[in-house]
Amino acid sequence: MASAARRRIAAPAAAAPLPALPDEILESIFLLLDDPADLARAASACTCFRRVATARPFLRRFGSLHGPPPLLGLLFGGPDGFRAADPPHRSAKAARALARAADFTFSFLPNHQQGGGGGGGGWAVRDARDGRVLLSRPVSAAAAFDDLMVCDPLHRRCVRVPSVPNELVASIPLRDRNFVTPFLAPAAAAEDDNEPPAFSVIRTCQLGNNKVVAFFFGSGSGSWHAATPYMSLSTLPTGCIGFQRYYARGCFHWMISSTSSLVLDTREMKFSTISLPPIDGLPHRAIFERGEGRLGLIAFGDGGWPFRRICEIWQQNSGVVVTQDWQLYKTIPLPGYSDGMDIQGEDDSYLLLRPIQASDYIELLRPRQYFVLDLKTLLFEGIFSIDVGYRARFGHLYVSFPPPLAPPSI
Amino acid sequence: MASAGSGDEKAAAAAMITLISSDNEKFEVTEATATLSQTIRHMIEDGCTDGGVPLPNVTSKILARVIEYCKKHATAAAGEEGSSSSFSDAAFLEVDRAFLEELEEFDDAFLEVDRATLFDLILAANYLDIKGLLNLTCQKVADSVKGKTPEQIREMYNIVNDLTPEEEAEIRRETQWAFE
Repeated sequence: MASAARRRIAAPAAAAPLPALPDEILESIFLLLDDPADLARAASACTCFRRVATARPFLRRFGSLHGPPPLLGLLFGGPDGFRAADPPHRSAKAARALARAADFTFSFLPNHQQGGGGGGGGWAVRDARDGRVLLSRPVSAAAAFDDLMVCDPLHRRCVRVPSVPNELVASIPLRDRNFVTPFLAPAAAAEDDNEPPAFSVIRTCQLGNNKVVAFFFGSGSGSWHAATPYMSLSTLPTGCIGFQRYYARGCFHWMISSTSSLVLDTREMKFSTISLPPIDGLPHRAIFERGEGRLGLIAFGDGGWPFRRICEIWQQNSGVVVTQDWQLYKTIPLPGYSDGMDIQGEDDSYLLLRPIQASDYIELLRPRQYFVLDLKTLLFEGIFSIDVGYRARFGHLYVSFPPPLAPPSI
Repeated sequence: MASAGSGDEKAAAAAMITLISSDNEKFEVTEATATLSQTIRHMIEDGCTDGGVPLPNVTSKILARVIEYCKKHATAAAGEEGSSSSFSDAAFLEVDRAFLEELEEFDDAFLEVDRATLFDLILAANYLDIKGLLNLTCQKVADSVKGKTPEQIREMYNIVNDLTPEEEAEIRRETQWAFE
């Protein structure tokens, strides 16, 4: 503090110099700025302001006071890369800044030049979370596992995830090593405020029609662990633990039937199932965190006839999980003009809805938009429109503070 | 000068504290006023206030303003406590609102100072650990920065732009979104 107090932030010869403020006071002042744009401009005034406003511990406090980082756009696999949110979305300017500053071609990955093709050395985007992107690349046609890499496209850093050790997967028959898309678990709170929080990668695998296994990798321990395998009493649909998963209250959820979801607790590393309310005519489902220890459920139609342009929000009465405990909270109209939407991804704070492929020429000529549902406010917001005639592809939500307010995530 | 204690003259008289500024000026204040400062509260608790409390980091000019703030806020706090027993709830709420309004007016007027004084008040509030005054003054600076460009911020607070042209160009690129 003594050295901080000596440092003068103001000392022009002509004007009377202002007394120097120590770093912790500058932090207190910056924490009172509500708009990240105000913080970014203040951080551009001098090296001292910049150092204080871009330090990781400060940004963590700023983030916890000002809610989650904003949604900046969608990350697509292959050559499309990152697609920034368009005006009038409130993050449009910050999103363009991210697009300019980050490398979403992942040219910093090792052996990027090899293999060629849209994926850049064969790397394919698998997931995005907390400013990190998970990529995978097949090692060889014969290998059951692909290479995994976690990277920070803004700071051009990457770290390789070791493969799942043989002893963990030895019991799994080769034909069953049908590993579905690997994914990232939300970051745990950092132990050291100055270090990036640890990350976790999860791989799940369905064995036959009644068994599911999962493996966890933690960057903190640097090793893989197996979750307790799950044996289902009923037949599980093939591919039920696919990429449509939802995260709430420390657990990932997969819909395994119209009235139940398979739950993977990321702390206990255990599977279970929960019952969902039967809802007629609205087959698309997503689980989210409703607050106060409760789960929320969103249901809407798949565009099939008769298409109901509504979305039902259900919530649990309490944290106790039984069918009778769910109640309809709200019915809201679906946004946009398209025939239908489907759920294409989630973050802790947002649910991504993709317009369904148009079925006729008239529909093709209508503007179609990707929408997100803000899970706190339950309001829909358009991210960007798809060019007429183009398919709405699968994208990952990219949620982050814009530069320079996003410190390295690995 | 209003006395901080509402009733007990004896206790108030017995609990006077002498604060000594960096330029050796002495200020007599009640304990109720002085203990808005956590730093001084701890010194009182430790029994090391005999012969006055030297505050080598605070000038008499700033200390006078700080005491003005503490007196007002200590009076308000004492007034609220004193009134709670003798008024009905509705009347108490009315008094409460009047106090808060008066306090807000006082705070607004109190902040009408030049920027050097504002910074000195922040440093004094930090050193003396007076939460209310620190929040008040920091909020004033934060409000003054909102919506301003880096150039305006530098001008307002006489900040020397010590960024190299290269750094500035890089920052410009990174933070363009905050200027559009």
